[in-house]
Amino acid sequence: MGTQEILAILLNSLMLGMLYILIAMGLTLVYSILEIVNFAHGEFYMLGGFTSYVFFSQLHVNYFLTMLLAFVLIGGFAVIIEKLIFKRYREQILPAFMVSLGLVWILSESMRLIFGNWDKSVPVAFPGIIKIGGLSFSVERLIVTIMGAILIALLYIFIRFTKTGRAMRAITQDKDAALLQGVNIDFICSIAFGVGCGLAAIAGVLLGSVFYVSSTMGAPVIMKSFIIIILGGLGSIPGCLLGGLILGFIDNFASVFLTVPKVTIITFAMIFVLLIFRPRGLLGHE
Amino acid sequence: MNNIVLRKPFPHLFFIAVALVFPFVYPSEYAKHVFALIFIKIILCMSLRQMLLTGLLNLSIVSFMAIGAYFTAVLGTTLGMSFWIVMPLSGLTCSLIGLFFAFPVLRLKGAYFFIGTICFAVCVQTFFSNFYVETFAGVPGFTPIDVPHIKLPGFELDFMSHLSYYYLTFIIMLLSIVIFYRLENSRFGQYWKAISFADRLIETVGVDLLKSKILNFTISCFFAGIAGSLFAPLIGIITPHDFDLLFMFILVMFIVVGGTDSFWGPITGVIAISILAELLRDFGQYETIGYGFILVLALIFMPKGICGLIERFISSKKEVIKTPN
Amino acid sequence: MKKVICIFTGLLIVAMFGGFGPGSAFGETLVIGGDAPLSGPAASWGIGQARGVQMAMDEINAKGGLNIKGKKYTLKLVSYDNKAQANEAASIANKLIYSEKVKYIMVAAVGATGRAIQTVTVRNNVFFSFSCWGKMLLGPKKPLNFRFGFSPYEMSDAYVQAVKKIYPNAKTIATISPNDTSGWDGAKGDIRAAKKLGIKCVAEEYYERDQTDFHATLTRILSKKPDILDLATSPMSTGGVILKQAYEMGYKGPKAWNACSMASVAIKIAGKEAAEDLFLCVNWNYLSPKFTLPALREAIKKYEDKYKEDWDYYGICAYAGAQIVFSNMQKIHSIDPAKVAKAMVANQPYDTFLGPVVFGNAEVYGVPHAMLHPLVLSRVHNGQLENMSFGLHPDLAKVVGDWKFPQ
Repeated sequence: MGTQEILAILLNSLMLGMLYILIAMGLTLVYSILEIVNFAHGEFYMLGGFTSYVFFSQLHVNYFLTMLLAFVLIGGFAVIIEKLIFKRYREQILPAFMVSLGLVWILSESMRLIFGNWDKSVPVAFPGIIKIGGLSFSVERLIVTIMGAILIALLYIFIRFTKTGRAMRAITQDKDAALLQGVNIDFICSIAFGVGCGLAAIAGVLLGSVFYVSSTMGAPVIMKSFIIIILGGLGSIPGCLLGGLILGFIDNFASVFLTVPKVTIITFAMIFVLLIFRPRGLLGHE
Repeated sequence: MNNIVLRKPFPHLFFIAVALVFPFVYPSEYAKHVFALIFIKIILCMSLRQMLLTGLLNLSIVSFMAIGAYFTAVLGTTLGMSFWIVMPLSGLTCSLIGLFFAFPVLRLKGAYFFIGTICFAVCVQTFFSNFYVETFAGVPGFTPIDVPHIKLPGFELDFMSHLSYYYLTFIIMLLSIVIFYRLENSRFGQYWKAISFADRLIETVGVDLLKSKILNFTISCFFAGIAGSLFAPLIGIITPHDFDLLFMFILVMFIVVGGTDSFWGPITGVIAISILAELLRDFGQYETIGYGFILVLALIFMPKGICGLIERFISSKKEVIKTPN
Repeated sequence: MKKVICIFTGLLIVAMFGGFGPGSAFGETLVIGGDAPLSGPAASWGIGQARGVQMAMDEINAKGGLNIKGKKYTLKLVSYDNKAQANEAASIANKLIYSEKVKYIMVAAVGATGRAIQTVTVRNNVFFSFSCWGKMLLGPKKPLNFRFGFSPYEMSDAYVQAVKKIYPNAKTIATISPNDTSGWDGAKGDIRAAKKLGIKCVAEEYYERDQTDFHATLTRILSKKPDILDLATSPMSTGGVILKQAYEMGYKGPKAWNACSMASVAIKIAGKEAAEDLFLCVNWNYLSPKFTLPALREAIKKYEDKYKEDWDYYGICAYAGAQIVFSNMQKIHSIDPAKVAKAMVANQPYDTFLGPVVFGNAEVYGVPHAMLHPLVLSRVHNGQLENMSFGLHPDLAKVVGDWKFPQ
């Protein structure tokens, strides 16, 4: 395996890594502010994919407008779900987890019943192949990677510099103190949930055209997100970045040299060992 | 916790009597199959609940069930050993493996313990899917599996019939429940409950924290192994997919819907949801979405589970009696 | 407390009559069972087959049902969702056999569930037909098991031969298939067939089912420069992604995919350029006048009109198989599974909308219980399926050697 090929594999893992990181960040945002684990997070990713199918593929709406629509529509839907269902479970991880499990079934099955049993495809938004240094990459993947990076940066800016973002950080540091400072906890929680799920939806739009849209595309994504969060540390957004890059690296790179079952066992054994010696994850805080 | 339901033995004997005569009152083969599965799931959920007493959500229970099932399948069918030897042996093997796993994993707390057990579960599932496929048969499943039989002079019983398996699983479940009940109300049980909210504190009164937790863990593993042992011959085929995290989450769901606070929560949850699931089968392709709606609605309207609902109902009645008119 | 007891017994009574009782109507109804995935990722297979069997039943019921020795039987299909899980499949088989009292299970897909179902059907002498792949599902110890639809043991030879005719200079093949039994069956079947024709296998890769990115695997494969890229048992959408990525990485040669039974999905996902020169044997252009019978085109139109969805190959075979089973029941005036099974082998060949059908391949299984019909090779060109040629399995050729499509 030449260095060129290794480089290609590394770059390829970076591409997908960006989007899984984006999804994991949404999940971690929800965990740090609402203190619940939303197992249905992958389903919002899936809903984003279907938004792309309906608007971009069937109704021929502009691609970037579709991304915005996905964020607004699915994010809005998430806010409604939060107010109706998750609000009563704040800080109760176990019941919230169970409810989100039920939601997984409801959301994925509704999509299957509405759109039919066959998986859907979304046309390539940016066709063409580009050659960089003798290696071919699809233009689509390149743009999707850049979009992913931009969105991660936007999220960072949102949390660091906006008033709502500061309110979110206040809640994660000390909820009561934040309340005393006049932060509207309910409102911020809804926004956080909406933003987290909305980001997953945008990722669904982006990856929907790279891969395909399916009512069951949420399941593998949620598992990957959990691994990223565990590696990076529960509740840490920069941790997601690190965790995602490591996971992408292991997944793509290690499977060049080893069979996938061995890689799976090594990954999880590594996580286990990591937890023993550093339970907070790489960058997490307690 | 210690609730009203525990004090009078009458209701328990009533339920046991109902369970014993049920197969004759309602002679449906399939019902016996479903209840045998229910009894197995109850054993699993009780093990899960016992760990929950210490505040730990142990998601590796399903892996120990897998280990027990494969152990039974290989020793019972491939090597032809008697089920009555293999079953307790598989429980003990699971305890032993659990012991080794317990030392590292019990150093973790809360969400990290949860994740550590998930890691173990994934590794075990991957192991049975891809390694030693000649022995374990991998993804397509290990089949056929020999059923237990008894050969005594003058009496021979092959546990092929659902009736015999119904009673077999019922008796073992009953024994497990008695053991779990005694454990929970013993000195050990008190330590475990104390661990869940004041573990530093109880160390000051001389309780070895690690030993206590390890005891809890290995006992849970033992019963998970027993459950796996019973599961394999009943279904006749075991695949790694049968012991995945989804099944584990469903076991947790049984406890949550039944009520995490009550000893009878897991039992109520398993019976209620399993029977509901059977009713949903007639919906064909709408079964799964129906299941999802019921789960969400049950959790919204019964946040403390079924037992919690009954508790509230009973205690509100008691209050009515107490207040003078 | 007494209230609790009352509620409990009440629930139990409801459950007894609702949950465990038979779901079928009383009277002269012949209930056929279905035990297949009806929800989740594998739902398309279960639902496609269930609809196929239902269509065959509707035809018979429209004529008044089966007339068995003067007694009229209405056909009814009762299908339950096994969510592609082996233990669910086993439980459902128990329910069908003990509660619904079925003697026939005719809707089943996904290998591990087939194995689970047969543990119950064989013990109870229940007829079991399925599309599941796997050598151990047919055999002399399972005289009532039949497979409707090709598995690699039925098609690999004819398939690879047909492809080689188009590419006589092909010397190497590489396979990429899921890492489980059906994945191994598909890959190894084609590799064996290729070897017989002097085509060497230069890469045999397997991937986990939930893998979405194949960059590393394809890098390994394409570095060996295969003349044919074979996707073997890859699922529809995953295969589409593999095709797309292979094209992006520069592969422009011919592709084979013996499990592709719903090409339209894969072609849309891969894109026209990536799917070019993909050769298939279990999915051809059912509406084209070339290499099809008018009856097939009618059946497809009927299905698409009713369900507004594409129909997959295995669903079509379930329909054909069901027609054969019911016609035999009628012919021998019996609904006894053992008699019907014997009749199915004895009364061949059958004139079906797929062409002539025999049950054969005893060389592999020990009993001739695999459905064999003319294999039509199709090629994807410009995003459309083109029917190129057809071939007959040796067991079929023995009986109808000089049969041709009416062109």
